[in-house]
This record gives sequence, structure tokens and C-alpha cells, in this order.
Amino acid sequence: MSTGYLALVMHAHLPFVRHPERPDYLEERWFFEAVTECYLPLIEVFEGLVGDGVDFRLTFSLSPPLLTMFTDPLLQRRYLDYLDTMIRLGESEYQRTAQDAELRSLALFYLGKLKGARRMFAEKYDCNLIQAFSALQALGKLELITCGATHGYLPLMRTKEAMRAQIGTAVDYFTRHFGRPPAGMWLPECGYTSGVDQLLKEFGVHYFFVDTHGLLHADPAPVNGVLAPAACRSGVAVFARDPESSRQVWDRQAGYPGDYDYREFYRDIGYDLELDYLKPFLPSGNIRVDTGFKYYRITGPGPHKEIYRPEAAARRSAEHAANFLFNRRQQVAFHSRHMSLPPVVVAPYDAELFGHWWYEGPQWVDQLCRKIYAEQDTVRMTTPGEYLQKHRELQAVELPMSSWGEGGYSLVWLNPGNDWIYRHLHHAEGRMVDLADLHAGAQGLKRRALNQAARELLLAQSSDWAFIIKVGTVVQYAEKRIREHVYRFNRLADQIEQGNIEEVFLNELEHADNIFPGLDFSIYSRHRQGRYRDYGAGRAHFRILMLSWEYPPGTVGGLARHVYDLSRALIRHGDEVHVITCPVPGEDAYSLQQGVHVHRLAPEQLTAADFLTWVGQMNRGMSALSDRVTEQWGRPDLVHAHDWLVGEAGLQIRDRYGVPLVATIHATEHGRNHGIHTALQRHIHSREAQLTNEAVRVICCSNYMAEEVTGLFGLPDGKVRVIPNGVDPANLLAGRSREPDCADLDTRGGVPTVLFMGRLVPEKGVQVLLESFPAVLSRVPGARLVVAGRGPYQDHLQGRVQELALEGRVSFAGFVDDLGRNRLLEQARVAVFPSLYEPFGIVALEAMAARVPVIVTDTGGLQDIVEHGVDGFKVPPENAGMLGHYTAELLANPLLAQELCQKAWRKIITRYDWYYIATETRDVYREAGER
Amino acid sequence: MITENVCLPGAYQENTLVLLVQNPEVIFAYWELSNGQWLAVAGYGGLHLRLYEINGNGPGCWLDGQGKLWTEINLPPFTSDWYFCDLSPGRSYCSELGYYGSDHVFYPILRSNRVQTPRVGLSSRPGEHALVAVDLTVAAAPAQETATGQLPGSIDFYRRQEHN
Repeated sequence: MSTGYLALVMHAHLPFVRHPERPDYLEERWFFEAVTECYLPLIEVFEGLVGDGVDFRLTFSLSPPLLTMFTDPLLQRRYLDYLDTMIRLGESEYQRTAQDAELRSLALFYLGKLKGARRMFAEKYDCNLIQAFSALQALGKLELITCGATHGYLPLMRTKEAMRAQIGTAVDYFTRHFGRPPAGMWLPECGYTSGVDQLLKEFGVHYFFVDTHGLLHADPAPVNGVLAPAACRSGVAVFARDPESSRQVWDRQAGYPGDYDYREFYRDIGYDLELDYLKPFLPSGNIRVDTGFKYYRITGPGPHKEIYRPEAAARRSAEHAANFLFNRRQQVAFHSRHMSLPPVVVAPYDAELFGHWWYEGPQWVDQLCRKIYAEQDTVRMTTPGEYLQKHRELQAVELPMSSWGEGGYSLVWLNPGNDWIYRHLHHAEGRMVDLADLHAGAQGLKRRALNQAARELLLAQSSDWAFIIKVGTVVQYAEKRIREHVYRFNRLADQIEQGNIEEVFLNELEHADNIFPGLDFSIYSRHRQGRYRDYGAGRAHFRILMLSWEYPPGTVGGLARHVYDLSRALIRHGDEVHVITCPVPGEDAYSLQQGVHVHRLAPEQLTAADFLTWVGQMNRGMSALSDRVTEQWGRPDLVHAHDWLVGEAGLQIRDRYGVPLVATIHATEHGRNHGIHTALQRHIHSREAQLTNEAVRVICCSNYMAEEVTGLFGLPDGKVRVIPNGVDPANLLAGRSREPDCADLDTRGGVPTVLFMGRLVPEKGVQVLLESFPAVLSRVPGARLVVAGRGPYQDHLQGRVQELALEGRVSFAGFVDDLGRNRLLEQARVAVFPSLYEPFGIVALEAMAARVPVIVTDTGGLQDIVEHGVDGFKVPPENAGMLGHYTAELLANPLLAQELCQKAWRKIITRYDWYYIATETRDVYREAGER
Repeated sequence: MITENVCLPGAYQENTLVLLVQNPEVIFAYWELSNGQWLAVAGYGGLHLRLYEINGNGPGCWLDGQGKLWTEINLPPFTSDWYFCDLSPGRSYCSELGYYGSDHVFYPILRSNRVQTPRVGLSSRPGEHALVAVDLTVAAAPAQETATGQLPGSIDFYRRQEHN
């Protein structure tokens, strides 16, 4: 009966070093040497264990660049050429050492290894090592997992989309090669940062690893320390590196690999012998490199080295394996007494340590597996996947950012030597995400260019480049790689944006950087539809009952507009939408409007004069009408209720048909009234509480609203989703004399015009705007302000205009319809929305869509819409001084205004398109359906 | 066509201010201003970089009375990045780049993302031991056809070439 487990984890990775442009590229040798010295010997060890009936378990992470290189025909051919050269060198060495029996036997030893490697690679595996790993996985001995697509270090990425592309591309690529998705992921450099677990979950990954402190410093503290996994709240398990077993292997001084009987890595004939002799075997005939012919053992700390004796080294590796096992047994036996789960010692190592740096490493693994199997019962080998099958209830923790690099965080990849790379990588990230949204569904040449741009970005992100710059080895090469991939990305992005893709250039890049043939650039989209796990299983289209008390025509507020735009956008996704709403004079009880089924109550159903009685009538009517709709069209997949007014009907329909209820809360009674003061308000508030608590998902249009709704009604984390309102730029064109264009900002409207639109009530803040205006006039004397809208505050505001001596500078345009709004926007050089309270702020989106630079207050939903100094300006509420300053800045600096205007327009079309809003809404529907 | 030894762009003509966490006590900031913003700030004194420590858990960098100014750097000319050192672990930070107007008011022209320094040491939250079940659902394979053969370098591509 075993007491605990050992999970030996090997992470195999090399950066993508494939250089078709010329032969003899030095960096390709990294791959060739690793195949000869690490991957083939390890495979040989595993196969030997299988052959001898030794039951062992090992977790093996294969990074996607390595998988690509394993399967790449050019590198396969070049590896054979390399092996042939090395075999010739071995034969030459055999001749050269004829006078020295010891050296000669070593030359023969290496020659035999090389010939064996060639046989194994070319004949047994047909040049493709993936087959070997696949077979070992099929036998249940190896648990194969993968890593980030190009080993990009996640904590230093700027966008969630870039992290998703690293993770998703890797999972997809792994699945294509091995026919099943990886159970776990080795995060590049063990780099974890908040949110990574959710992305792993999105792609069906069950576990990942962090360094010791990455779990030890979690909150709350892990009750089992680091010898048992914990889990993120997302339900993804985390295993931590065991420090003791790490140290025994990794430690420079005390670690096993430094034993004096082991082979000395730094004495290689490539550096020791005459260049003339070596010439035929060296790259370009004159570059000294490691050849692998290393004849000495470590011997001691000094420069004196003695001949290497493989038999003595083999005895040592067996002793070290025994020592390692002894320590694990002690460790497991000691800790198991205090733990609620069986201990699992996670011992992760770079695979390239074994065989390359630590020549005897593969033998040590061999001995260790044999001893664990045959000599004791305390410790059994396991894999994280196997462990989780037995123990899936784990302690929930929140993990801090961490990595396994020097210092435990991001120092290695972010320091004064390499920090300059991030602005380029981040710029490319943002641009790639925009391109994916702007060119969704692109085909042909454009699609190829987008996919290649994504490949170039991924390749530029390899953590290897920043690492190499930090440790100062082949810095020029690393810098060159970053420069090249960023350049290629930017050039492709320019061509895609300008619509003139050079096919010759694209062809060359596809040849040179041919990683991930099946990559789909849409993985970078902010609105990527459907999570990986839904492919095939998820529902393609929904039949939705949409409940809204108002629907156009008959618009009273923004809610009608929202339901109208959302419903039409859902139709574009292929969904069937039935809107159930109130009657409007002149409208039929049923109509099909642009694909949306609109069902209206009969006017005689709504007779009550009392508000709440009327609401009751409406809900009963909607509930009854939904029966008729269902009878005729079939059972709905879900019911979506907009605001508390229709909540009762939503609940009834949910219960009657057993379908999920989703609710959108556009505004709350509490927010509208700054608190709950009357009996009616209390009643409405309780209805809101009921609806939001009963609905399986709640949608709010801004982070501000989500926080308000979550807090007011005590909703659990994760129940409320933020999906903004959309805007349809086409609606802003009617009535204009010219197409909207950021370039005409300095001439628009004759005089510099500032525009406000909205109801004239105190919370819209027009009084602050008026107070700010004298300062604007002192810098821009010709400026004027147009206030469009009406409301109870108008008289007061007009009084303020007089008090501030702004007559002739401020005009009140009164209520404007859509055409009037569009004409005012055409004249405006700046639009200002100085609200004190604003759940969303659709007017700001409309101004941005009409290419008017905006200034908004940093409050409510407005603060989500504008990024300060990037696509508009934000000022604190009720701060007239700041408001006047930024208004004058935009009027006085047309180039700046134009830049912000262009960024704002890009934001509108990449984030606030109704099609995208519908995409996100459908994700919520899908989640609701899963529950 | 593929040029070796290419240069990186000197500027991207965008307004951006980004914070990155190096370790629990160090945050790196970098920024860039567009031509239009450079023209606009030319009339003011030098640029200042502020770092705020933020409370609360909002997703953005909300400064409505929740944050405290941790430090302010009067930036030397031609600076485009900065390391903030000696910060506290387990805290949220956010930065602003701006200038002082003639009224001595600080006007931010850029606001950064919000970052959190990792917490260190054993958490003192006592005895909390909420369990979560690990999601072991096996993801379905992607719906698309395997797209090997599209690109030069893939095995199928080369096989095709050899046949032709």
C-alpha cells in the first residue's frame, strides 16, 4: 500500500529555430543536439522500461514549437545530414585516437550512440518522434501535455486575447497531433497571472503547475502545503513544484549533475582540437561549436580533467537514483500524517537537462523508475491527471502572480536589458486583436495574411528571446528574431489595412515561418464565439422569447432601442427571436419585422389606471401570449426579460417550460432615485431583487451597473455579466450633408462648436459644463456651446447662462429627433457628457460613431467607454476647471482631436457593433443553458 | 523580400501608458505620445508621472477618492519608461502621466492599466478551507478539419510538391 506519489514532470521546449534561408544555421543545432542527446535517449529509456515490464508514470510537456520542428520535413532532412556529419566525425575520431585505448573506446562509444540515433530516428520512427511519444501515451506510461503556443510568457502580455491565443493555439495544435486535448498545461516559465486559469478552463485544460511560492503564498494558505494540489475558483487544479526534489537535481553545487564522475560538458573536441582537423565537420568550416565528443569527466573544481569512464558514471547515477528515492520516501511518509490528501511530490525539470547538460540524466530516470517499481511500496509514480481522477475535490485558493524564473516573478523577462521589447509586442497584440475584429470572416489572400500576422506575433512572443537577452548568450540572434517578427507583423498589418497585400512577400513568410498550419486568426477576436468545449456539443441556434414592455415604434426610452437592435443582431446569428411587448396604435398583434417576430398584447388587456395593477395585467398577458407563441413555434430555448416590469412573466414562462431565464437590468429604482424612499420604490426594488436572484444570469451594460446590481441584490460572484450597449453607425448618417470624417475637425461647423445632448436634469451635469465655458472662451474666443434636449432643469440652466454672461455663446436647441441629432453632430468639434450619474451613456457612443471627439465624466458607464487620452478625455464629475481645460485642449489642438477621434471610431467598430454585442449575449445564453 | 536586420519602428503614433509588474516591489512603466499630443503638451512645463495605490476591486483605474498618490516623478526630458521600486506586495497600482497647467493643477493626459503586485508570505486567513471540484470534462476536438497541407513546410505540402 503506497503512502504517496511522485509526479516526475519533464518540460521539453526549444524556440522555433527553422531557417530555410540558408544551410548550416547555427541555432538549428540546438534542435539537432537536443534530439541526439535528450529526446532520443529518453525515448529509449521509456521503451526499455516498457520492454522490461516496469510500470512507470511520467508527465511530459511538449511545447508546440518543438512539435512543429519534430514534424518539419526540412529540419528532419537537415537533422539526418547533421547526424551523418557527426558520424563521419566519429569515424575520424576513431582513427585519430588509435594510439590511446581509453580515448578510442570513448570515440567508439559516441560513434555507436550516433549510429543508434540515426537508426532509431530514420528507420524506427520515420524521422518523426511524435510517433514515439504518442505510442508511450497510448500505453498509459506518459501523460503528454503542452505549453503556450510559442512559449510566450503570459504575465507580461497586455491583452487577454493574446493570452488566449497562446493557450488556445497550443491546445488546438496538440489535439491535431495526438487526437485528444491535453489534460494539463505547463505554463511557459510557470508564469501564472490572474485570469490564466479561466482561459485554461475555456480550452478544457484541467491542471497547470506553479513554482513552490506560487501556491504557498496563495490566499487562503494551502492547508496541505505544496505536496497536494489546490484549485482556482474556476475549477482548474494547480500543482506546485516541490523544493526538495528540485534542489537535489537543479542545485549547481550540491545537485547530482555536478558529481565528479559525471561527464564534463565544457570540454568538447570542437574547442580543443586543431581547426584544420575539424574543418570538414564544422558549420561553414570554421565556426567552433560543441560536437558532443566530450572525453573528460568533471573530476573536480579545477581545470584539470581526467578521462570519462561511462561505467563509473552509470554506477553513480544508480546511487543517485537510490538517494532520490530514499528522500522521497522519507518526505512522503513524514508529510502524509498531517495531510487530508495523499501527498504528491511534483518534481519538474527541463527535459533538455537530461542528456544534454546532465549526460547521465536519462540513466538516472531509468534507474529511478525501476527502483520505484521494484524496490519499495511507499512511493508510487503518478501523473497529475491520474491523481485528479482520484481526488478532484480540492481546496479553493486565489493564486498570486508567480514564475519559476530567478527571483520567482518576472525579473528575467522584464529588466533594463530587455524591457524595450514590450511596447512592440503590446502594440502588435492590440493591432492583431483589432485586425481580427475588423476582418472577421476574411477569406482568400486576406485570410492568409491575417493568419500569417498571427504567426509572426506568436513567434515574436517566445519567452526565449527575452531570456537570452537577459543571460547574455546569443543576444544578437534573439534581438534579430524579435525585430524580424515584429517587422513582418507590422508590414502585414499595414498591407491588410491598406488593402494591398503583396502575395510574394506573404508566400515567403509562409515558407519561412510555417509554424501552426491550421492557425485561425479569429482566436484573437474579442468576440470569439463559442468556447472550445462547445464545438459539436453546443447549440448552434436559439429560439428566444424576449420580453420587453416597449418595442419600436412606440419608443419611450433607450430600452426599446436596445431590444430592437439586439433582436435584429441575434437574427444575423441565425437565432429565432420572439419579442413579446405592449400594443402600439396602428401595429398588428403579430408582425415579422426584419426577421424578428413581434407579438403584441391587445390594448383591451391593459385597462388599469393604477400603475402596479397595469403591470400585473401586462405580465399576465405576456405569460398567456407566450403560450400561443410556443404552441405555434415550438418550445423556446430560453426567456430573456428586460427590467423588472416583465419579471413576473419571465418567471412564469421559465417555470412552465423549464427553460433558463436571463435578465437584463438597464437601470435600478435605487439608482434612479438615489435610494429607496417610498412604498412604490420599495415594491419595485423587491421585484428587481426577485428577478435578479431567480434569473440564472443577469446582464448589465457597464461595470458600474454590474457592481450596483451585485451589491444591491447580494448576487454571487460571476452571476452578472457586463455586455455594453451597441451603436449602429448607419443610424447616424441620415440628415447629414457629408460623410463623417475625423479629418474635417478643424473646419466643422464654421465656428468651434461644443455639443451636449441629453435630458436637462441635474444629474446630466449641464450646469458644470456652463461653468466651465468661460475658461474655454478665454482660450478659444470664437467657441460656442449647443445644448440639445429638454427637461425640468432648462429654466435654471438658462438662468445660469445669464449669470455667467454666456448669452450669444450658448444656444438651447430643444428636443431633437434622430435627424436633428445627426445634424448637430455633423457641426460639433467636441461633444461633452458631464453626467453626475449615468448607468451607460449611449450618447457618448453615438458621438464617437459620428466622429466627434468626446469628453465624459469619470463615472458610471461612461468610464468604461472612454480610455483617457487615448480615445477621448475623462474628468471627475462636477469639476468645471478640468472640463474646461480638456474642452479647450481639443478645440485648440485639432491634430490631437483627430487622433482621439480615429481611435474612438476604431473602438466603435471593433467593440460596440451590435453583431458583437449579440455574440457576447449568446455566450451568456449558452452558459445559462448549461446550468 | 524578407529583409534581415530590419529595424523596429521608433514610434507608433499612439497614446499609451502601460504598467507591468516585475516583482512584488517593482513596477515598470512605459509610455508613448502621439504627434498631436506632443504638440499639445509643448505649451506646458515638463511631464510628470504619478503612481497611485488603489483600493477596491474595480476592473479599471478608478481614482474617485479610492486611491492615494504614492509618488510623483518629475520626468527628465526624453524619458519613455520608469521603474517604480520599493512598492508593497499584494497591492493595486495605477499610474498617470500629465503636466501642470498655469493654474498649478495637475492635468493627466494618460492613465495606465491597473496592476496588482503579488502577495508574499503565508496568508494569514485562518482555517478557511472551501472546496471546489476540478472540472474534468474532456473538451471536444475542434470542429474544423485538420488543416495540414495548407502551408509550405507541412508534411502534406511537401508530399504534394514531390508528386508534382
